[in-house]
Amino acid sequence: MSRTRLSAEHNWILLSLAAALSGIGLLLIYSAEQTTAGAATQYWQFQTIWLFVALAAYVAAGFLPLRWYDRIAWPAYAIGILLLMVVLAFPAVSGARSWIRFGGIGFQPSEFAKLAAILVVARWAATLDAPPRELSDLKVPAALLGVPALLTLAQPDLGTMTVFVVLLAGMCFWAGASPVLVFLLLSPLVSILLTFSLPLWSVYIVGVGLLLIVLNPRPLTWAYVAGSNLLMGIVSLPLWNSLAGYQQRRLLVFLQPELDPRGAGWNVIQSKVAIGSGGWLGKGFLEGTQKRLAFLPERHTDFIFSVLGEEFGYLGIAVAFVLFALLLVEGVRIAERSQDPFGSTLAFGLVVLIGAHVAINTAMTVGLMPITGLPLPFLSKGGSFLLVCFVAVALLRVVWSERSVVRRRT
Amino acid sequence: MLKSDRISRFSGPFDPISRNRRARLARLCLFAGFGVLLAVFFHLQILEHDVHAEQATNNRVRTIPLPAPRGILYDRDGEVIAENLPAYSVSLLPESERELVEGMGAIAGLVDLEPEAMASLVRQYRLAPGQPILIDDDLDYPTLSLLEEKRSEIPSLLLQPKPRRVYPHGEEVAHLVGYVAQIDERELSERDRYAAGDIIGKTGLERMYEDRLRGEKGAEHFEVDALGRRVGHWQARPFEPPRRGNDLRLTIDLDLQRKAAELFPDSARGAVVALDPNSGEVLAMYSHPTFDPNMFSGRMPRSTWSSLVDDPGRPLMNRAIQARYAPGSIFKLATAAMAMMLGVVEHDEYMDIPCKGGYRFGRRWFGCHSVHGWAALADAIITSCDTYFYQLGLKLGMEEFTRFGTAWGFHERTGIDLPSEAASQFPTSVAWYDDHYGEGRWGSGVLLNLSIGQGEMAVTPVKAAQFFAAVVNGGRLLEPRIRSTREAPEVVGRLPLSSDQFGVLRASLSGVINDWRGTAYRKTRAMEEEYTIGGKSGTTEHDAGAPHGWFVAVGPMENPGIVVAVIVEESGSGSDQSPIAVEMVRSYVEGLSGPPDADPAPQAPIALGESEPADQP
Repeated sequence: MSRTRLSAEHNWILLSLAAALSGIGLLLIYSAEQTTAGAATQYWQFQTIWLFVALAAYVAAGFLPLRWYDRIAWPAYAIGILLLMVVLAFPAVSGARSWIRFGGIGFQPSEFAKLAAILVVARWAATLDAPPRELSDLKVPAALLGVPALLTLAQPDLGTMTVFVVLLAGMCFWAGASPVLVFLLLSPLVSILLTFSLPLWSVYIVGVGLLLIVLNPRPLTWAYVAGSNLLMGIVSLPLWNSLAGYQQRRLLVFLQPELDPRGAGWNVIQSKVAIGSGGWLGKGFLEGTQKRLAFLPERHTDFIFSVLGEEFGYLGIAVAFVLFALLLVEGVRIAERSQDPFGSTLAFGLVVLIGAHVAINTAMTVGLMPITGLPLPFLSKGGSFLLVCFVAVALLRVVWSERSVVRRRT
Repeated sequence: MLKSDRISRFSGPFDPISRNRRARLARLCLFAGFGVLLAVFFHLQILEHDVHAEQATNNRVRTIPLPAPRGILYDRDGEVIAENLPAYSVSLLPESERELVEGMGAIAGLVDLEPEAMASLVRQYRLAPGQPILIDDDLDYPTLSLLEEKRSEIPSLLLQPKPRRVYPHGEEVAHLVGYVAQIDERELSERDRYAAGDIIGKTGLERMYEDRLRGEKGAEHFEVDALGRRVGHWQARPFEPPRRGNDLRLTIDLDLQRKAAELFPDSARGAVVALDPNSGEVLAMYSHPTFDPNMFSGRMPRSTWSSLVDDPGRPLMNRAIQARYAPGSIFKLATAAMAMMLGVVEHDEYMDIPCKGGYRFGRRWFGCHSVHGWAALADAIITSCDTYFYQLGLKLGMEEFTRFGTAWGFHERTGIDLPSEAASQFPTSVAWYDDHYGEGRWGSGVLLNLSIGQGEMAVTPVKAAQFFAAVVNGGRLLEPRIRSTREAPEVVGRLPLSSDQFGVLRASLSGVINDWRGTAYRKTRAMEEEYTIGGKSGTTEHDAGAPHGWFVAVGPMENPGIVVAVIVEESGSGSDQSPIAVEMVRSYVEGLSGPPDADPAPQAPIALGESEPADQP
């Protein structure tokens, strides 16, 4: 088949959506800078320059054939893991060692590592002859994504770690693992999350036990699921109880921001006030009081969505969600249409990556998720992340243009 | 080859059917996820919008009250007694206690701020954290401009116009108007609608008519940023102007008031009360020693306050309504009135025993200040013969004496519209003596003392004036009042005497000054006027020091327009005080009939803020 003919087929939907979202992002970053507090900044100009860089990257990445990405997956992954280890030697920025800085410029290696990890997991999926049926069939992706997850946890960057976990779930699912199997794989993490409440955890453990009895999997699976769930509960319960009262409260601030309205709870309270006071149509461009008077923290980055909610109201929020949904649905369509297992899994991984960022970030602005500092794709200020997003769109476009090509396994 | 190719394409995890199945599930998850998010945002932005909109406003809007100018006090002719001058206050509106302490430290060099004052302001902050903390409300312009420059360094600094209460004739009217000062913690806990730092009337008319005078506070709405810095006015509602309190027209004649202050001997203590006997209106009320109420309007140094409180002359006390003195001989008019009313004596009737310089009652000798011989009732009043009144009192009897003294309110407050009036004292019944001395352990001798205004009775100067007003107005005991109204005066009691009997009393009053035997003849005679002035002197014995001197003057006797009661403590003799009282009467009567140009157009007061129209013409 002629690769050139197909690669000429461009996906305009993806590019239009990405451009529209980036345009909204530029407006919001410009607005976020119009405050009464602090020095005047010109972030929106930098972001504009970065947008052109990202578009150039989109064009460049789109020229390369899918086969090439298949080939660079392992080297990229190795570099990504290396950088994630190197970054731990750098000084912490607002509590996390997640930035590598040289002179004036810096980037977060985890952003690169996310793309690289998606590539290697897609490679793994392409080697499958049959859908994974046992937990042991998932040990490769679990290891491939578990290593960067643990390295980001060490920074500590809980948000990015969560993204790796969600990628594991999503890509295993796309590789054919049943949702129940995926759940069994990740059940120890659920066990940890539930240990803040002993009754809830007990109910969960009983539920997992019943599930195991019904499914009756292999003894090894039994051992893994039962052992890891109990271990997590047993380890984290005394751990939780050994925390001082104020430490527990800090963790519980997510559940009840009112516990510490001036401290840990401030961000989410002010974000909710900003969004909630927006109403149907918002206060108008540049008119958000929460933003203008600097009540809203991290206006350019983590809480850019709150600026949207305050100044453009529910209408603006809905438009942004529709644009994201269209982008992700188009990504799912590309994954569905791609007949190449590597391309298909790659596309779905990218959808999961963008979707996880959107869900975690927007849910955080309304207090549904703990504040993790995960940026919103296309909208948040930050050049390297914008670049990653446009490369992701470029990869989707490459998969789309080669959707009918089935390559020989390598 | 083809077959294996087909298998590799269409079996395993990536055959089209399973891809399609998973894609459908993935799309379902996507729509469900966005559906949940849209619902959550709908709940927050639409259903809970009002709550969050209010929070957004509360976040950024700080409201600072603007003090209202108080109502202006005018005298009966429209002359200004109390007004407001523009002044500036410096306050701190801190976000935290730390910011308050820092702010105070930063301005301590510019304004007078002692460490103990700082501690008290911190306490005030803890009481009401959202309220501005007043540091000084009487800034001079150099300080104001120095502070203005510090505005950017001290985010909590607040400079505001604050009207300052001013009394142009402060010392002359001090006890009458009282003074205003910052509300204290006790008043704050008792009253609604006040905040720490507010100005409130503390004594006198300022306290009595606080609710009328205070006006309505305005407000200034500022927008603050997340750090608590003010970035400007709140655009939606920047400013609500304060409303000036209601003005008050008083019955006081400021010229007469100043006359009283001028006439009163500077080294003495005492009071002057002048009433219009026909209406009960207070024309003048002066107490000495006095103070300057203007001192209280600004921030008063502790030393000034303690010197006022510790002064043995008690300058803060309004002797006209708060000090009680035995009435002495001025009470003889009351004894005479009771006796005539009950018919125990006729106006031309002599007592059984003439005055030989005193009266023997049982084994006790009750002295008189002179030898008056035989005298009728009017003569006895004119000469103030004690011997006559001892016998008259005995004829009246204890029962009737206490009954009528009580009926005429000698044990009560007059009800004047000033706070903290003291009640006069009077034995309300015979039983009173039984209670105080024990049954059978007191004799009729007490009655002799009571008849001449000594013993177990004491009156305030305003009570004395009220009684004399009733004597010359046909017997109506009127509630004295300082606020001018059109309403008829409140009659609180009556002296039920015939007009002939009142005639006897009035003739006696004239005689005191104009008869050669009168006690005040030597001091105040030789006034060739077209009208007559009457009066009555009183000299009261008391345990500590020289006797107090009373004089109550009335004029013109032909148609009484003014009653003036004067008490000068430890002055020795009442008749010596007659010139003060008589001069007051003269100045008032002649002021009224004087040429029209003596009544200049009322000066325009300095009025800050808008006001309700004055409630008086």
